[in-house]
Amino acid sequence: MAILLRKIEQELADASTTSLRWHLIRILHLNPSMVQDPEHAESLLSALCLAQVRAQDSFFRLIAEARQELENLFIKNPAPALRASLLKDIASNIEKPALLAASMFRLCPHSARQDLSLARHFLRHQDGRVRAASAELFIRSTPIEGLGVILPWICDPLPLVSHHTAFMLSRYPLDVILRTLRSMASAREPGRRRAALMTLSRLEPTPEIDGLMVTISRDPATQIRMEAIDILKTRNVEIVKKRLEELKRDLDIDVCEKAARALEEFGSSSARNFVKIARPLRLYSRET
Amino acid sequence: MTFDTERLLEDLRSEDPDILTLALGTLARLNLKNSHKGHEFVRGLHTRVLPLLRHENKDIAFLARKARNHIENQFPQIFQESNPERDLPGVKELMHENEENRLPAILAWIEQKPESLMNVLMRQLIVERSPKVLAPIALALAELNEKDAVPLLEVFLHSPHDRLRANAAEAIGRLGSREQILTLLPPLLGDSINRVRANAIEAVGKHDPREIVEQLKSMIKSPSIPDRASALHALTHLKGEDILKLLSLASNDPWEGNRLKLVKILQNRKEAETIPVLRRLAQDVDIEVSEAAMNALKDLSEGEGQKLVELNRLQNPEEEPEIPAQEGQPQGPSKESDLMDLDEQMDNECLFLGQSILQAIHSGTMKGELFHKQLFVLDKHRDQLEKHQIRMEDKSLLRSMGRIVGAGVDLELAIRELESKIEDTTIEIGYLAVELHQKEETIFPGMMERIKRILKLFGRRHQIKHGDSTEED
Repeated sequence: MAILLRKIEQELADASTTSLRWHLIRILHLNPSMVQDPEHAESLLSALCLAQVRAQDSFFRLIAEARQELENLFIKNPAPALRASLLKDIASNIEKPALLAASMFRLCPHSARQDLSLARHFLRHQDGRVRAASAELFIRSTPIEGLGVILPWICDPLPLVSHHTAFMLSRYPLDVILRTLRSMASAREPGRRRAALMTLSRLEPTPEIDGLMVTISRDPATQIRMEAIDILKTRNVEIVKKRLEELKRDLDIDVCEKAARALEEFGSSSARNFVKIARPLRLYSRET
Repeated sequence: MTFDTERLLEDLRSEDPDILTLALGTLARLNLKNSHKGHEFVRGLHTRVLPLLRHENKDIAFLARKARNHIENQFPQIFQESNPERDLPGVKELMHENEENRLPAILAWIEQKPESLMNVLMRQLIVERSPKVLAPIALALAELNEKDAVPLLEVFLHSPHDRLRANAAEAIGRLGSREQILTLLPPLLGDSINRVRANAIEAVGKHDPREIVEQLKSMIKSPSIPDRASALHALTHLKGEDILKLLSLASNDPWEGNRLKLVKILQNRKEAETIPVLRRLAQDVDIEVSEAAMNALKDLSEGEGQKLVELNRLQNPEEEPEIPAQEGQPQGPSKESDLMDLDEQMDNECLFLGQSILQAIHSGTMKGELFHKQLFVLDKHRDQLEKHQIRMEDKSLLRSMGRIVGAGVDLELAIRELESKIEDTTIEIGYLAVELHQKEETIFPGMMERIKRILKLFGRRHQIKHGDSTEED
């Protein structure tokens, strides 16, 4: 009575909006020992990639989780022939955003360092799904040093993209992300320092993140200090309050005034839509 | 009666689990309405109980919940705006790294059944991998009638964790379509764990009883007590003639706990067809089983139905049995079940007849030559039975301990088998007596009424079997 991936694929295709969630959760609980046709995993993965760009936004994260689970369980060996065909698909779907995004998602398990330029090219695509797929492809093909490029996508105006970027970044431990952000915060280009601040502002607060934001609020660029005040006032912690007091005595009068106003509003608007990089806890080791 | 409420308040502050348990237990039963205490006092008690809802000791947390509900139910005007979710464990507990903390958290949600329960269960299912925590979730999905969850439950059927597999089988049995049940569950009919097997049997049996009869039969005959108990559990909700036969078979269970359980099952079925089995159990060696069966028979007699007449006859064997009027068609649900009933009745009558004959032989009022063959067999069985009983009654420590862990089952089974053989031989004597009366017109003083009754039953049986319209006495 083994489980057939072929059957799951078929049921996914026929699933209603209400039953889709259950089919996806089922994939999260699969185990190689219970599956009779593991060779069908690639095909099921293709179906999931299509579902990823076609289903409602509320399913985006769950489908991404299901894809990742399936990959971890069944996709072990590199498949050069498949990779070539997937690249061909991307080329032929450039004008069709949904299919383009699906093809890019499909390439992700077989991604290589040389896909970085391809991913980077589509990072500013007007379609959110393509941006999300590019962010994933980028994160999966970049070495750690390249993470700084993708971190600002956490601030994408479309929640689907920002949340997906954060989810994909969960492949890295939080301290690696913070290390990258620290190096961005001390970059020579103001743009990179500002990007670090913006990225931090979207992350779920931790003492380390608050500490790094306080550091950035000492930036020589007035504009960055001004923006830092807007973010700091939303964090209701003592270290931030102390820093705002200091900013009241800033050399720039605009910064002083803004800090004074911020102290009046301090902690008033802390309910921001943060993204959480930390991957949901795997609460128990998979059954074997 | 005055109650020291100050002391109660003080005890609720205690850190000693025993004092807290006692205080909460008292509070959960205390009638505060008549205590003439003001609302402030009630609120104070309520406030004191709330932190205990998350006490690390599960018993205390459970009692606190009971006490809280008790207070709120007595003063709805004070707690009207209470939100059922406010005291439930939050994300921190549900996502705790230790499954021992997550389990009570999810159980509290399932127990309270707030509106958002389904969302919480879904979120938990995405991240949860502990079979211990997944097991109650599987059942909760069935409670919530979430039919779309069957594909997920199918995966749980493959879990190496028994409880998860058993709960998934039960949930599929409740949620699945006929096709889903008959596709997914039959492979579990041979599961090594009796609970899983029983749940699968129960679910499959509802749709296709033929599929599970053999399986149940082997479980009922199993030397393992839990196996036999699981078989009974599965039989609880199944119907049909085959199931009735299995219930009858289960009445020979050597363990009185299972026989008692069987009486309850039969009592709940409220079917006249179960009377012969109940009647046999009413003569059980175990007094509890016997009394329960008597009560069940009494309950049944208070019910209505066409089998009632038959029941009365069975309960009053001295009365003349009423033969239904000749209407051409036999009454009752089917020819087979009627025949089975008549066979049971004839066996019972012959058993009594056989016992009377044996008593007469024993007291010397009758000679035993006519039944020498049966008497020889009976002696042999009784001798063996006596030996087994002596072994069984051995009070030595080793044997007692062995019996506790179930090591005495073989011996019990052997005793049961011998008792059953003795009963069969006694019935044989009864039949032989009837035959002798018919062929050689032998007279058995004081037993002729019973012999006549048996002959009438035999005539009725012949009539039903051959569709003959003439009654044969």
